[in-house]
Amino acid sequence: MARPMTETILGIETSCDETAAAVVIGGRDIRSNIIATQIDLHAEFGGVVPEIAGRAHEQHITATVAAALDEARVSAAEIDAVAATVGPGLIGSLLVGVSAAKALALVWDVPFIGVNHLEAHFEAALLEDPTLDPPLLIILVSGGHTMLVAMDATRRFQLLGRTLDDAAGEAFDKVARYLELDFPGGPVIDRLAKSGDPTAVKFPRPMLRDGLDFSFSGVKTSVINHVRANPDYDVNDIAASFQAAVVDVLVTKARRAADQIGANGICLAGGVAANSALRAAVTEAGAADGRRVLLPRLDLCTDNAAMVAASGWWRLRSSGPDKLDAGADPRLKVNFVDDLGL
Amino acid sequence: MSDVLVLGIETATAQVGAALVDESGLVGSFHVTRDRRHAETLVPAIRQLLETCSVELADIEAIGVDVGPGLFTGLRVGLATSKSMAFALQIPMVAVTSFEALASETRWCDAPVVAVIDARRGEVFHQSFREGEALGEPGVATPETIRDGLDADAVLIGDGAIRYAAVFETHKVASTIVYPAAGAVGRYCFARAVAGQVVSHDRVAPMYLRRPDAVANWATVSGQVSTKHR
Amino acid sequence: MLCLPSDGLAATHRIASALAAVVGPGDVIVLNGDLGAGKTTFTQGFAEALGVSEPVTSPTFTLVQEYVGAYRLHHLDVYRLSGPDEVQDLALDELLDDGGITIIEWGDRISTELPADRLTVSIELGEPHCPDHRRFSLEPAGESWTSRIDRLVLGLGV
Repeated sequence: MARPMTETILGIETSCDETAAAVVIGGRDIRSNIIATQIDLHAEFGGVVPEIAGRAHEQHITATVAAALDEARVSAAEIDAVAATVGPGLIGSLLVGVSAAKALALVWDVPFIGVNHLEAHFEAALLEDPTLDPPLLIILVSGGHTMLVAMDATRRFQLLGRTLDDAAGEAFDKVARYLELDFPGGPVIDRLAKSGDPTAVKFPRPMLRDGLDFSFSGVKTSVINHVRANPDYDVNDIAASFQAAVVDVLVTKARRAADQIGANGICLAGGVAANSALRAAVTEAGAADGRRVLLPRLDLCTDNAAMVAASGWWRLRSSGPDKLDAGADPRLKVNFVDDLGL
Repeated sequence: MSDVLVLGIETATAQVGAALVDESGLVGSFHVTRDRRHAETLVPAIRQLLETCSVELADIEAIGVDVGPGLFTGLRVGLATSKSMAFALQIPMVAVTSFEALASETRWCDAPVVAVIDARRGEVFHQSFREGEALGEPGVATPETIRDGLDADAVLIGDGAIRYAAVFETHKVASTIVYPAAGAVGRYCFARAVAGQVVSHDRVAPMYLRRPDAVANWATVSGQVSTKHR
Repeated sequence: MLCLPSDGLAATHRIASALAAVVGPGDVIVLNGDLGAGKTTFTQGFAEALGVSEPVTSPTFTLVQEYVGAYRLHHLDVYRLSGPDEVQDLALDELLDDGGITIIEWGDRISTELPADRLTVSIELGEPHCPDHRRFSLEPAGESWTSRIDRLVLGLGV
């Protein structure tokens, strides 16, 4: 069935601690991108508390959807489909967005599209500059995931590398928790690192020379060991040195992966893509290798619904709408292609 | 309001249900007791119910929903679904508690009725009624505390009454009224809607009756850290 | 209570393997230990010994990870769960009842929701000048675990 290229899609994202809704036309034209963040609710606990997140999603979902429609200046009748993140994420949070999206699709009599949160993140960078031609190398770095992914022009994905233990963002969070920094830990470490010496402590760069997979658990443990053995440590130096180790591994492997697939560009995605040292290092690597680099603006790095609407647009094209009996899958996997032949 | 048609939604327990009610009573309902698949089941079942009953979405005048207390995820599926439908249909809502839904089936009973819902951890949620009207506020207590305050002729309903039947053995337990039923939610909400007791979807909130424990005991877990920096 | 020292990754994996050799369907293992103590590392060794081939990654974000080896393996991190109500919501009962083995990091937080019959493994970091050292304490609860601790000791040859 031929579909117009200009479908107006309402995207809904509630996989973790952001209640988000957005209206995107044609998979790229962002008309609204509303994010109701819950950071303050979780701050005192030093991390996302699933039950608190689920309650807040339930409380804010309808108003967030209404705000997305208002800001986009579209009426309900103009919505051609409703896309929602169905996984991976926290089950009690995912269910809110999925239920809301299906209810809206039922009433408006439009297709419902279940979107994979990770595939949506892959799409985020391209929302900034859709002219960048694949193949692209995507560095997905967030609290729950760390992956190097190749993407071709038809939105097929190949997994090139991934973490074998902790996600990069999780290492940031746990180091911050150990240092008793404010939540979320990533931005605090980023800020402290600006006043620290990244060469002060030479933390290990696990598996730097081998392949494209990552291991961040050991870096975290090294920081903890160093702090225990050196009670008079300088927190700025620790932050800078830890961050340097993580960024070093990420960028070294990303360049290797980009070379391997002959990537035209490198895209950063995920919450850790907001990290200033990582952004600077990827930019520098792009310049050195003659590759374009896409750094999504901050509201497209963190969890957002514009990327969900965009990913839904592509999914509608590739596999059509989903049924209304869809549920949420907290461990949903990306449908990776074994080999894109790049 | 004439020709009022109300959709009632019930997801507060492991069960999932919906019902259509008008002035003639129950138009149709479905009720699934297995598998706890609230999110998968609810929306397609509502569509099927509407089709089978030859009811258009536009015919629905108000949506009633059981706001708990009950299973957290189930409640959120019911609330997110009903509020989004009310928002999209631009119609009002009626919020019914699980206590009210249970007690609405005991209007015939002139003895005091206590709705008792299992809250786990040796506690129950409870509220007292007479002829369907609430006598006090909902609360949380041990079954023994409730028993000690009961009138001699009090009748107990709800899954908490069944679970702690041994504690309540000196009283009558109405063993057929265990879980809130979609039909009861629909009928209760219909009566409220006809009486004009409706609210906007943004005023409907779940009744959890318990705060997340994190609020209470987080400090004991984060106390592991000895260093301190801000 | 059985106390076992470890001087590094290899020793930790030996303990995990010895434990894997005595587990059976429906077993519940609670893992306690500070940040960086090596709860996930221990689970990796345990999973490997059970024949799990894919990498065992941190369950912190997803709360529950699932693997298949000789048995189904559920790996939970309940650090951020707000309490027993939420455990019921996650359908932990069903998880515990599917014939697999369940390892629960920070499981003490939800001890009221766990079967009485379980093994608690506590990991303590060594002195700061020996960053690789750990102390493992294995505390059986319930008859089946108490009897199996002897077999575990035999397996370790300590």
